[in-house]
Amino acid sequence: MNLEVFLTHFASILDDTDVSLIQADTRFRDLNEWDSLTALSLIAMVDEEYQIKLTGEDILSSVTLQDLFDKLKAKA
Amino acid sequence: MSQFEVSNIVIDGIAAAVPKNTIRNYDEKFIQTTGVESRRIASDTICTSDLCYEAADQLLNDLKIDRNDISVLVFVSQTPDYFLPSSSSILQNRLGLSQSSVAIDISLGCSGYVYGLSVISSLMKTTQAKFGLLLVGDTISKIVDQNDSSTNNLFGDAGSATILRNEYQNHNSFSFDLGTDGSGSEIIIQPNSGYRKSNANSFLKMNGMDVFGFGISKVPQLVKNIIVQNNLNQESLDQSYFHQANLFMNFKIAKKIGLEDSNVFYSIKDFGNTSSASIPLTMVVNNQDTTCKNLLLCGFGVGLSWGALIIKNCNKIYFSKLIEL
Repeated sequence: MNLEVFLTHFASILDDTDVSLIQADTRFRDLNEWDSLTALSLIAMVDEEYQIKLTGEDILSSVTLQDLFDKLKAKA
Repeated sequence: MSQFEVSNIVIDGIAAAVPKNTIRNYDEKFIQTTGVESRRIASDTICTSDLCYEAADQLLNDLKIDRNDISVLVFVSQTPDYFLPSSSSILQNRLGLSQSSVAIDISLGCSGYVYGLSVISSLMKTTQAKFGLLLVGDTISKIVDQNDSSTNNLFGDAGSATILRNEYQNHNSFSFDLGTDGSGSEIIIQPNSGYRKSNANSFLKMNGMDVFGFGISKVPQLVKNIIVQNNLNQESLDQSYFHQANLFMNFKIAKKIGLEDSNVFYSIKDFGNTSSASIPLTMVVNNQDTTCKNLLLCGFGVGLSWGALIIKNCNKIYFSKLIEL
């Protein structure tokens, strides 16, 4: 599992956020575009690209995109 | 999962009733994601049983069925009139059904229509009933927190009635696949609503992220399995009716299964997520000819509970005109 690829996938679920803002240390919940509906897009993206079930708790307990990526890796 | 068949039962007709009171959504992103443009909301004086009563009364009149011939009544809802007595008892009397009829309530939500069909068809077989009446509906608007936009703007109210007939000649089976995972019981819950008291308020609580994760992983697997079990494929399913959860989730599910878009029917745009009533309501408002078609009905949600039903080579189901109260 590759972090850069994950960041690209994450950027693809956003419409109005500059790609340069999507880094491993990005605090994703601070993004202007982040809301409960973006969270659903994230769960759908992870299901589609990685066939992994991301829970609400996984998202709520993550601060940065690196944290999310680590949770995915642990579930892979 | 529990897979079984009930043979020689047909659905004669379905009716649905909704409140007249229409509430529109204005948040564009919410509409785009959930697909809910408007919902029907019951006034304080309308209960689920009232919506189901009107649907049943209309359907019985339309089909000219003698009420004495209905000997099984099943009411499925999570918003009954009372904890006790059961709403099915009240409805037996109100509809003028025979005192020798079997009447029971079932507490299920989004999976309730498919579960209800499995229970009533099995009961009709064991009791040799001529006709059975399945009443399914909810008024979830009465338990949502009006400050919680994720639920308040999503749910609508509706009731339905379905008449089933025991067919003694060789007819195609109802093929069911039902399942439950109570480890997810707190994902959709109305805390403090019964006798196990907690400090939480009594409004409906829904963990939307986990409901979504459950829906897009469990439902495609369930449907793909039942398709194979019935020696069908995606192309041979003529009409699919899913619980109307939210449009984003329903599109993901249909895509993962590989269903033709034009064969999947919806009602969520005008009526929202109508809980247990969503499948029969979708069937009524789309009013498709079911003659000789392969139908898939699939409900999933609170419990967590899920059920799929395939009716191969279906008879012609009569749909009453939508009733508005």
